[in-house]
Amino acid sequence: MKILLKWFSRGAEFIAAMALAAIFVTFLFGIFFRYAPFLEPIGWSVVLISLLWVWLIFFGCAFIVREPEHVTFDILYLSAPRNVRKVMAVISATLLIAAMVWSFPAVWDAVFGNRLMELKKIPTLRVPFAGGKIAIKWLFAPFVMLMVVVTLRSLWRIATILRSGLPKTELQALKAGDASETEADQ
Amino acid sequence: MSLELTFGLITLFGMAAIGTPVAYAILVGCIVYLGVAGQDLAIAGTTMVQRLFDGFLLLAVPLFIASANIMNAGAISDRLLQFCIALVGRFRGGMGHVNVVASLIFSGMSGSAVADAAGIGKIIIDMMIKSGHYTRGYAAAITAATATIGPIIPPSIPMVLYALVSNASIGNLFLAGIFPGILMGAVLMLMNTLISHRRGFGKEEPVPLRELPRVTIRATPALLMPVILLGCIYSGVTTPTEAAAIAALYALIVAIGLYRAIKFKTLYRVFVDSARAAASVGLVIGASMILTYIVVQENVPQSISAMFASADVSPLVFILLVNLMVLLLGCILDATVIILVIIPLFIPTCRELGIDLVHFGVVIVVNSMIGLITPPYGILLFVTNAVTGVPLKEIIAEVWAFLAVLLGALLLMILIPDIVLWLPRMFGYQG
Repeated sequence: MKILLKWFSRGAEFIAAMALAAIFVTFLFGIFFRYAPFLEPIGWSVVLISLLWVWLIFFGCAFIVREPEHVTFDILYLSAPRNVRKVMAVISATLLIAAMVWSFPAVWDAVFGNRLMELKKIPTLRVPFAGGKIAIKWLFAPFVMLMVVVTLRSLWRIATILRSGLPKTELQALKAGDASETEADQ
Repeated sequence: MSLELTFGLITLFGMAAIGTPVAYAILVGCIVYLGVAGQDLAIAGTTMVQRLFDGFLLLAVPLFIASANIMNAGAISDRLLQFCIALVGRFRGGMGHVNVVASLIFSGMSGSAVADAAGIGKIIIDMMIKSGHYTRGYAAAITAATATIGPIIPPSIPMVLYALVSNASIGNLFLAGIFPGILMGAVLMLMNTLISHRRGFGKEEPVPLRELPRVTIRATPALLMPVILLGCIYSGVTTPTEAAAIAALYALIVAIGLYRAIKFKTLYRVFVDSARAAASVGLVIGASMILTYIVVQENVPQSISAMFASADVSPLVFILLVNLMVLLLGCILDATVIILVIIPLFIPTCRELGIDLVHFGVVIVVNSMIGLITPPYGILLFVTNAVTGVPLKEIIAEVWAFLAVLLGALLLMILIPDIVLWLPRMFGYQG
């Protein structure tokens, strides 16, 4: 299980890094094609970059951004005693799950149950070789994926907290410099 | 304020206060708002995706993050340091000056204060402590203070975010940041000189002047980065966003081609880390865009504007009030959140009062960067504490003097808009 998780997160890191690299390279292509002699400027680079960016954000937050790496207003959280912090973390995760579950049917319906999302296509972009256009629902799909993953991750977080205590904050990990994932019991 | 907005905000602040990541707190707050208002719950997600897809300017953010990380991974910071030591290390309090000059130059590349403090900042603190001339609290405090210059001199991620919420030109904002950044460096050096003389900090062994040309040549490729970036934007060769890609390419060429200091494996890690950072910032940006959508739907910026109009507030008083508020918020909130969520509320009032949006933007960005070193909640204090192990208490005790002169510089920028606007006007800005 541990090994599986490790390889999964390595794979996710690889995909995200490649998405960023692709954004970078597509930018350079766009500039190159505009100035190189005999080449026509390309119109699809801007759209492809924007699509990759949206995917990178939601895919990245779903699979490779660790909990403490998010921008967090943690001044109260960090000054609270350990037990209070535990309660805070569990409440926060529970509310997050509740909101995701509550809004999920509406979001699913808006993205996958809406004929417009199927009919409307992402402009100027074509699937390589096959040549068809991409339905606009695939622009929104990563958000749906994020909702599912956030729900699962929050459930996992609650389980971890109840079983083995709080995960370390980023600064604690940086300071301690060791790889153990949970706060030492002081 | 409507019932649904009240519920939404309570949820948002409540969840953020107990440590939920800000992006998720905003998302849940907006879902609650939509639910109570009886609107389609999907609007939150679809608005977020749509706005991120349309906000092309934002793509500068991941690219600047990548180029900063490439710079930190390559031996570029080492060469810059040698250059700075040769240049200003000979004076009393020399390493303090080196710190300021290094930040000034390095900020021309990174665009992120935290990257400055954690990268080149850590190296300087170690050198200062090892020299034995400085207390460790002083070394850490001046490093944290100088790191605030990073996002003032282009490239600058906070300015990209401000350009997004205000529609001010990113090119003009970048130009407008150059003098204020230098001013901040100057006041910090002044303070460093004063303190060094009063406490009698020792001098370093001066680097012979004949060494200077060699050290300068070795550092030149790195020194050219801001020139290339601004050159691309102002010659019209690329859009500002594309210029960010050129900057990343340049960083890559310098690190691999000239300095041969980066391995493929390191480069891969750089891309993974940048992707991770970009995703987490991107989510905050997306979430604050939903919040902006709701706030506009509720006419909040317009009511604020009407309030100031009826109170007959002069532009100067308004700008001072907003700055005071940002300063106070900066003690407890993250700069990204301030710029993306709080500032849009005041943009219509600025337009109404005839305040120049480039001037306002630079002042606000400087202010929120000062917020990064104001106790009790200053990210830069935490980062320097974390990477060097110098106790927070010692850093905070030494940081006040630098905080005071930075605030003085901020006040100057507010009172004399020409400090900010002179350079963009030279390049044809009609403000």
